[in-house]
Amino acid sequence: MLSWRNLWRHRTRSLAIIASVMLGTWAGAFIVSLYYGMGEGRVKIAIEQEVSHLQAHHPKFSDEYEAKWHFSGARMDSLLPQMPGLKAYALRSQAQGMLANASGSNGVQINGVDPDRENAVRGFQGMVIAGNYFDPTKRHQILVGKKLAGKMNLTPGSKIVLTFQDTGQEIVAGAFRIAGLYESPNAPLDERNVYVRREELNAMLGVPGAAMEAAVLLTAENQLKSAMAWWQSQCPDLEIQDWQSISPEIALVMSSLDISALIILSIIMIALAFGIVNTMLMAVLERTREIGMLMAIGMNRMRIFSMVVQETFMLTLVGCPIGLTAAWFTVQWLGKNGIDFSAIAGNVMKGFGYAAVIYPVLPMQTMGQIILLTAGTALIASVFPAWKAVQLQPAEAIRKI
Amino acid sequence: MMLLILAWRNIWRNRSRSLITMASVASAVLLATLTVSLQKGVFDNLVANVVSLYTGYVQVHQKGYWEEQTLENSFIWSDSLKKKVLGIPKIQHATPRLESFALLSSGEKTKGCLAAGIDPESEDLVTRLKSKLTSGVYLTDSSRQLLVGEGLAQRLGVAAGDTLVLLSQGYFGSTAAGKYVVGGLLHFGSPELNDRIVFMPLALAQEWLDAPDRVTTLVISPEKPAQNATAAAELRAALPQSEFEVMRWEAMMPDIEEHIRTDTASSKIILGVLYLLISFGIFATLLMMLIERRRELGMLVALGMKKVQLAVVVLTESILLTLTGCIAGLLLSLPIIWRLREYPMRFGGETAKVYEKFGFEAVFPTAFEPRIFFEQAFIVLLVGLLLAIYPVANVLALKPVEAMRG
Repeated sequence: MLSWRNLWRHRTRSLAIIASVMLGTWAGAFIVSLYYGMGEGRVKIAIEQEVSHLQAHHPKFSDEYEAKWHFSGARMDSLLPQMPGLKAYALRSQAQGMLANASGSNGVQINGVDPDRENAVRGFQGMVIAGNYFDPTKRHQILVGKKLAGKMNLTPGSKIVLTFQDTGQEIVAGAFRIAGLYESPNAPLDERNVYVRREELNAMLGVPGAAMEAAVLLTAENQLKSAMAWWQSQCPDLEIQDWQSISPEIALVMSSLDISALIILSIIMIALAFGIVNTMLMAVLERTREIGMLMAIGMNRMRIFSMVVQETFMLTLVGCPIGLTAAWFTVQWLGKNGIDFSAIAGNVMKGFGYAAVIYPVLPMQTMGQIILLTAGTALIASVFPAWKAVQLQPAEAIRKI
Repeated sequence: MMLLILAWRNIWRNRSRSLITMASVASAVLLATLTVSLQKGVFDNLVANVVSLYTGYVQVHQKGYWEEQTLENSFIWSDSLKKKVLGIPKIQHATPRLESFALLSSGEKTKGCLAAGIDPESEDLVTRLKSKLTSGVYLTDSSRQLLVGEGLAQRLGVAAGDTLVLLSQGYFGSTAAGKYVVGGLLHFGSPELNDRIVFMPLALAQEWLDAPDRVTTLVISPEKPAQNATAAAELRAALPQSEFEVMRWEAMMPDIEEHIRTDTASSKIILGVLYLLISFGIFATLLMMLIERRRELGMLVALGMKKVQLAVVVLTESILLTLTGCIAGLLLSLPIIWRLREYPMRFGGETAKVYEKFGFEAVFPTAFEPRIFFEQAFIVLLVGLLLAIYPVANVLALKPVEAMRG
C-alpha cells in the first residue's frame, strides 16, 4: 500500500524505472527473436533447398557409398505418393568419381536426378546462374557448381569426362556437356556435387531403374514424425533419416546460435540490473530524509526493506508487459518485412546457407521465459538499494537536507 | 575557475551520488567492451579452428594455381626460396605440399581422394597432423607409406598395413600410378577431410607424380594469428609478384568470411540495442540526480547565481564523472576480459558434443585488443557527454520558485 502510494508520489522516478524495465524486456525479447530468426532461416534453407525433410538410403550406403546398395525406383514411385503430408519427392542415384577436362581433374560426387522432381523438391532450376537447366531434347547434360566451374575453367557448352566405378567394380567413363552452372545456398557443397540425369547415370552404373537416395519434402514440419514412422514401417529394410541427422553442421550452427543468444541475453540482463540498481539507489538517496522519518516514527527495518523491493516489483510489473508488447510489435513488423543483413554488412551469408534477409520470430513460450528473467533480474537488482535503505540511521538521515 | 571548484566540491559533497553516476558509466564501458571482445574472440576462434584443419592462415602458390589447380601450376621448392620465406620475421613455420586429386583403389573398390605430399615434420608444426593419428605410425621423410582419413579408409575397407593403388594425372599429363602401404589412419572432425584425404611424404608424392622438387602449395603459419595480414604483406614484398600468389584465409575460404560478416551484421544490431540500454541507464541516473537537487539548484538561482553559470557547473560535473567513469570502466574491464581470454567460457552437454563432432572445442574466448577498449570507452564517453545536455537544458529552464517549493 505504502509502496503503491510512493510510486505515484514520485512519478518521474517511477517512469524512469518502468522505462528501463521496458527497454530491458524489449531488448531481451528482440535479441532472442533475432537469433531464432537466423536459426529458422538456416533450417528453412536446409530443408527447402538442400536436404529436404526426410531421406531414405540402404543402411549400408552411408558407410560405403557403393552403388550396389541401391533400392528400386519403381517401388518408391508406387509407395511415396501415398505418404501422409507429402509435398514432393525425388529419387537420386549417386557415384563418387572424378571429373576431368583438359586442364585437370577434380574428385566429385555425381548425382543422377530426375530434373522435374529435383526442381519440385528443392527448387533446383532456380539455382542455375549461367546456361540452362536440363533440356529434355538433349542427352548427356551435366550441371556443375559455380565454384568448381571457376576452379576448372568450365563454362556452359564445354565438354568434360566423368570417371567412376560401376556396380561390377569396373571403371567406366562418359563424356558430358555442361548445360549450366548452379549456385546453391551452401557453397562448400557446390564444389563437390555435379548433377546428371538419373537414367543416364544408372545406365553407366549398370543398375537401370535404381535409386540410392530418396528425398521427401513435406507440407509442414509437424508432419515429420508421423511421415517418418510411416515410411519406416513401409520400408523396414531402408534407413530413414530426418534433416537433423543428415546435416550435422546445422546442429553446430544452431547450437552456436543458441549459446550466442544466451551470452548476449545475460549481458543485457546485467545491463538492466545495473540500470535498476543505479536508479533505485538514487531513489533511496533522494529519500534519505523521508525514510529516516519513517524509521523514526517506528517503521521497522524489515518493512522498509520490503517497501523498496515491492516498489521495484510493481514497477517491473508495469514495465515488463509494455516492453514485451513493444517487442511483439517490433517482431511482427520485422517478421513481415525482414532485416536485410546485406544492407548492414555487405554481401553476406549466402555461402554458409543462411538467408541474407532475416525474419525474427518470437515463440510464446520464450516470451514467458523473458518475463520471468526480467522480473527476476529486477527483483534481485532491488535487493541492494533496499539493503542500503535499511542501513540508514534515523537520526542522521532526518538531519540531512 | 570558481565554477570548476564548485563542480569539484559538488562531486565530493555527495559522494554516494557521484559514485552511482560513475558506476553507471563504468558498467556501460564494461558491458560494451565485454560484448565486442566476446564477439571478436569467438570469430577469431572460429577462424583459428577452421584454418588449423588444413588450409592455414596464409598460402603461397605459383601464380594462377588457385584459379586452375593443376600440377602445371606448381613451383620448385628450393633451399634459397625456403631461406627467403623463413627469413621473414613474422613467419614462424612454413610447410610445402604437393596436392593432386587422385583415385584410390583397394581390390575392387575405388574412391576419389585428395592426395597431399607433405613434409611430415613441418606439417605437424602447422596443422598438428600427428595428433590426428588414430592407428599406425606417423610419416617420416623417407617412408613409402600413406596416411588415410578414417572415413575414406572405412569406405575402402582398409586398415593400417593394407596396400592401396593411387592413380592420377602426373606432371605434364603423364599417368601417375603407384602401389603403397597404409601406414596409419587419421581422424578429422570435418567430414570434408575425413572422407577424402590421403597424406604421403613429399618425396614420395614427387616421385609418384613425376614432379621432382615441385610443390603446389606453401602453407605459412604466422607467429601470432593476428599477424597473418602483416606476414602475407611481407611475403608479397619478398617474393616476385609475377611468379607467386600469396593468399590469406579470407580469399581461400570466402564462405567462412561471409559467415563472419553475417555475424558482424547481427552483432551490430545487438550492439545498437545494448547502447540504447546503457545510455538509458546513464540517463536515468542523471534524471534522478536532477530530481534530488531541484531544491538546491532552485535555491542557487534564487540567491542570484546566473543560470548559465549553474549550467556550466552541472556540465563540468557531468564531464568529470563521465570521464572518471570511463577510466574506471576501462580499469575494471581489463582484468575481466583478460581472464575470459585465458580461461574462456566453456560449454558442456549437447553443445560440446556437436562441436566435438567437428573437432572443435566448445569454448567462447574473448579477444584482448587495445583498440576495442579505446573504441568502446570513447563511444560511451560520447554517449555520456551527449546525455549531459539534458541536465544543462533542465537547469537553463529552471523556475527557481517552483523548484524550491517541490
